[in-house]
Amino acid sequence: MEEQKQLCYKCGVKPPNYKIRSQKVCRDCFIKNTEHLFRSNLKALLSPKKGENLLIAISGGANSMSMLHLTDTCKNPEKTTKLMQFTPVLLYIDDSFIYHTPQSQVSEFLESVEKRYNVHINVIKIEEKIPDIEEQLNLPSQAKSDMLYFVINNLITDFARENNYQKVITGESASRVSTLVMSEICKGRGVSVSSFSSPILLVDGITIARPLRELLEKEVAIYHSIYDVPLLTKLPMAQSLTLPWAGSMDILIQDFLGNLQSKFPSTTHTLLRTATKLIPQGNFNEICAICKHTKDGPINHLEKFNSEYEDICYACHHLRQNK
Amino acid sequence: MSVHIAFSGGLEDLFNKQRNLTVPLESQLTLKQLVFHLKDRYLQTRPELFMSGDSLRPGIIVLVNDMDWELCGKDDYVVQDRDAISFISTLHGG
Repeated sequence: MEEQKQLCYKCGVKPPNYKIRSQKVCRDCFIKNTEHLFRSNLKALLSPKKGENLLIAISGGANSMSMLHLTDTCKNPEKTTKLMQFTPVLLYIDDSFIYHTPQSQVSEFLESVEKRYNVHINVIKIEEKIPDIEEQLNLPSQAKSDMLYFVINNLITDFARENNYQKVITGESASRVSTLVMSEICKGRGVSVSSFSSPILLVDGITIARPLRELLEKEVAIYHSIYDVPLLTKLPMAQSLTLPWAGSMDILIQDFLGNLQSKFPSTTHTLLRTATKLIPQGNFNEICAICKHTKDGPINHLEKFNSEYEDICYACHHLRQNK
Repeated sequence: MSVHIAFSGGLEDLFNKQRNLTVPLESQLTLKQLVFHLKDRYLQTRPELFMSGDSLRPGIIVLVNDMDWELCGKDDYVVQDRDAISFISTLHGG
C-alpha cells in the first residue's frame, strides 16, 4: 500500500491509479495521455484530410474496439480543440462461421456499436466471400489462425481497393506487433520482420496504418475498461494451452514477452525499434500471394521443397504443408 | 462479506458468459486466495486461460476499485467487503 501514497508522475497532484511502464499515473492523466498519443500517431501516419474516407477495420476485440473509441475522440470537441474532419467508414469481417459464435451475439454487438458511435458498419461474411474457407482452414490450430489472419487482412485490402478507400487503420497494439514479429521469425518470415513491425504498410496501393502501435496491451485494456467499450471476444483456437501439441506459438510468445515486459519495461518498444531496422539484403521485389509480405525463395538446395509454388514465400509453403 | 467481480476481454466466456458476479466470502482472503476461490467455485471451462501454475495467468490485468493491483500489493492485497475487482484479459489470437 506504500506505493499508493505517491502522486501521479504527470500532474503531481492526484494519487495514481495505474502503473504503466514503471510509472504511476492517475486516471485523468492516463486518459489524456492515451488519447493524445493516438491522435498524434494518426496524424503523423496518415494525416486524414477533411472529408476524406478513413476505413476502420474492427474485429470486435479489445484493440480494434479501443481504436474505434479513440478515433471517435478525434472528432469530439470536448476532447480536443484540433478536430479531425475525416469520414469514418467501418468494416467488420464476420468470422463467426469459423469461431462458431452465435449469430445473435454478433448482431447484438454490431447494433450496439452502430448505436453508440452513430455509424453504419459494413459487414463481410467470410463464408460468403470465400465459399471454400472451411477447406482452406482445415489446418492445425496455429496454422489455422495464421491463415485466417492473412485471409482477413486480404479481405480488408480488397474491400478498400474495390471502394476506392486509400487509407485504412487496424488495431494492433505494441504488444500485439511485438508478438507478431517474434512469432513470424519463428515461422520463417524473418525476411518480412521490418514490415511486420512497421507502423505503416503499403499493400496493393492501399496505405494501412497502426495508430495503436505505441500503446501496450495493458494500456488498451485499461482504456476499454474505463469506457466500457463493447467487445465481441473469441477464445483462442488452440484446444488447450497446457498440452504442447495443441498449444499455440503466438500465445507462448505473448506470455514470454508479457513476462519480460513486466520486469523490464522497455522490452516491447526496444524490440519494435530493433525490428524496424532489420532490412533484408538482396533483391526481394516479389510479394507472397498468401501473406502479402516479402516473398523469399530457397536459400540452399536443402530448401528446394519450398519452391513447389512459385508465388508464395518460405513460411507460406509450411502453412500449405500442414494440410 | 461479499465482493463484486467483473470479467472482460473474453474471461466472461470462461465463467458461463457472466460479466458480473457478486461473490460472498466467509472469511477475508488475499487476492491470490480469491483467484483460487474463483477458479474452484465459478470457472466453467479452460482453466489454463485463467491461471498459470499457482497464480493468475500473465496478461490478465486486475483492477481493485479502479486501481491497478500492482499499486496495492498484487497477490498479497487483503480483499475488503464490497470491493469491486475487475479481471481484464489481454489474451489474443493463436
